[in-house]
Amino acid sequence: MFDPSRLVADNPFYVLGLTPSSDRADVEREGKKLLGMLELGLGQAATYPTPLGPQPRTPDKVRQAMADLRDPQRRLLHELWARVPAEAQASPGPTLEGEPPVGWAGARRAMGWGP
Amino acid sequence: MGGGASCHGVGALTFSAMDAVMSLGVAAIFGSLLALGVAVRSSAAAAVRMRPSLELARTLMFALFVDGLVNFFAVIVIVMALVSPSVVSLLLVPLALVSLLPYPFARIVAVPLGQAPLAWSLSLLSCWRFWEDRRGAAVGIAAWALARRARPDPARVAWLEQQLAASSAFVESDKAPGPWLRRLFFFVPEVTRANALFGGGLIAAAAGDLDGARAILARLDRVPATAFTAEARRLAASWRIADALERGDWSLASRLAAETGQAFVAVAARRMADGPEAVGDDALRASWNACRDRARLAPLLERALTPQGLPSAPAPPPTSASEALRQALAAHLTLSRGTPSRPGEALRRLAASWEAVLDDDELRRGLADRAQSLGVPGGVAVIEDVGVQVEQLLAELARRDGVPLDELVSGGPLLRRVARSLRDGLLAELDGSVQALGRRVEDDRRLPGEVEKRELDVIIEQYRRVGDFGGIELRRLAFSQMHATVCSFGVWLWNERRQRRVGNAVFRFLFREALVLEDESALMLQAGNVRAGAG
Repeated sequence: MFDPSRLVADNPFYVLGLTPSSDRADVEREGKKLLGMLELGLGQAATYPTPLGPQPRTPDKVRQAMADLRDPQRRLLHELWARVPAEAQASPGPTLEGEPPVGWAGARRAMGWGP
Repeated sequence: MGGGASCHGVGALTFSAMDAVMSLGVAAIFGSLLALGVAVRSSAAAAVRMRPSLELARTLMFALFVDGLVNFFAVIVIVMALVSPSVVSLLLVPLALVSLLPYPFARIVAVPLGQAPLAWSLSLLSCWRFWEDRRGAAVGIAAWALARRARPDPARVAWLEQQLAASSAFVESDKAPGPWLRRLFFFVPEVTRANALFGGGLIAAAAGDLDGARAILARLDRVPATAFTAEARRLAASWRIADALERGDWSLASRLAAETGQAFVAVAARRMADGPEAVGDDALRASWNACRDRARLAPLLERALTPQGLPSAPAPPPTSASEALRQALAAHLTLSRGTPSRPGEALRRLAASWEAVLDDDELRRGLADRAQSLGVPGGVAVIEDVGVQVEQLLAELARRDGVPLDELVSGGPLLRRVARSLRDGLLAELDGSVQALGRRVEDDRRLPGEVEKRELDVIIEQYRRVGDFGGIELRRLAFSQMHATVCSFGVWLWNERRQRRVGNAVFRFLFREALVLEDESALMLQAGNVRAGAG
């Protein structure tokens, strides 16, 4: 079943440590390298950076990533979602953080209607 | 001298003995009257169960004869304690005061201590204050006491619901008192549902169903003042004001506070709604200085004086389609990290960013070119796939943050599609469970009692999710779809399985919902089921 929360976290470009401009040869080369490193248990291959923070890398994820990027239609979709750099921090976009709360918290208790 | 002293001493002793005898006599009469009151009430309750039309007669008998006489002797006790105090009369004074002033004791003692049964009993004694429907009002006062407890008490809530269902407001109207009762008691007030609504609303609040409490108590706006006890009306308005202040519904809080004479609350809420131009700092402070509960309302003054935060400046507009996509993605990822203080507003802004991206011609052209280079036929269709994935991601955020339906539909087309898919998903989930339950009842497939209770809890939880998301309207739709099946489940449990505890839980749930949703036929049916279950 489609799990939307994995769309960014498991993006093949992040899994393989590539950018959307990488070609097919880059995909194959990087994929095989990572599979070898994982087989040898090398620590630096164990995780990969994403905009949602580091995620665990497994051989199955690497193989799935390679398969997805071999399919042109799926690659096109993943290219869109990988436009944010993997190391990106909090967005500079508009936020509502820091705004005062909407109501008077504790009003019910203050007016005798709460514990 | 000794004889004189003896005579005086004998006189004093005689006076004290007479005083004690009188006190004991009054105590005996007082106690007998109380016992008589209990006996009259119990026998009347038994009669009412057989013939509900006697409910009003019970109130009248109790009020005019028993309560009146008890109060008369309470006054005697107090006067005696003042004129010639004795140990017995002084011990009886608190009891006398409680019988004369039951409702103040309920408000000052029982409610703050969270003692629902005591609050209920004392309010029930307040015949004259809650004339129209003592039981409905007593339920409300007891529910108020429950709401003051630190932890919810489901058993007490269930007990209160049973008391409410037994209220005369839910008796069939063709069983109203006959003409002979009206001749006997020349003043027979109309039994209205106002006090029962007041009680039902506060039960919902004590059970944590604030939406339901709001819906029930808002209906009291349509009740004429003459058909509603003044105290119950005032308390209902007080709850609504506190609720509106907590939610930030300043306009409603201001209107209700103005109607009930809470001048400072009305002024402060108007300040929050309309800003400093409508109510200046000086006027606000002056109003606060003039109110009686300055200490309690000081936080509201502080809140009203605090400058409202300005929305943070929007990001600079993107210079290209790719930049717009990057901004939308980055904003989405930021929102994924945690719930903002105003999730509905944040989600609407995010959806607007995505709509701008997905409708962008430059992006579509770029995608078409890229699709061609990759050899993807009809590559622009990928933008539709992205749209579907964006919808699913937004739905996940809405579900996580509990953004209600009415906030989603006020967004653009993208959020309205999200709202529709969430709505359909929640209704389908509930419908599936209810249909499965119905089939099991038809096939008479039985489960142990505790498992039946868990099945009921699952359905109630799914129903609650529908209500939390879709509000009263969606709740009404869900209720109409599930009422018959769930009621059949309750009847099956009660009549055939003898699982009466779970059966009663079914009826109380349906009764509570019917009261919230103004489903008259379901309300009277379930009130009868709850009464039968309590008997």
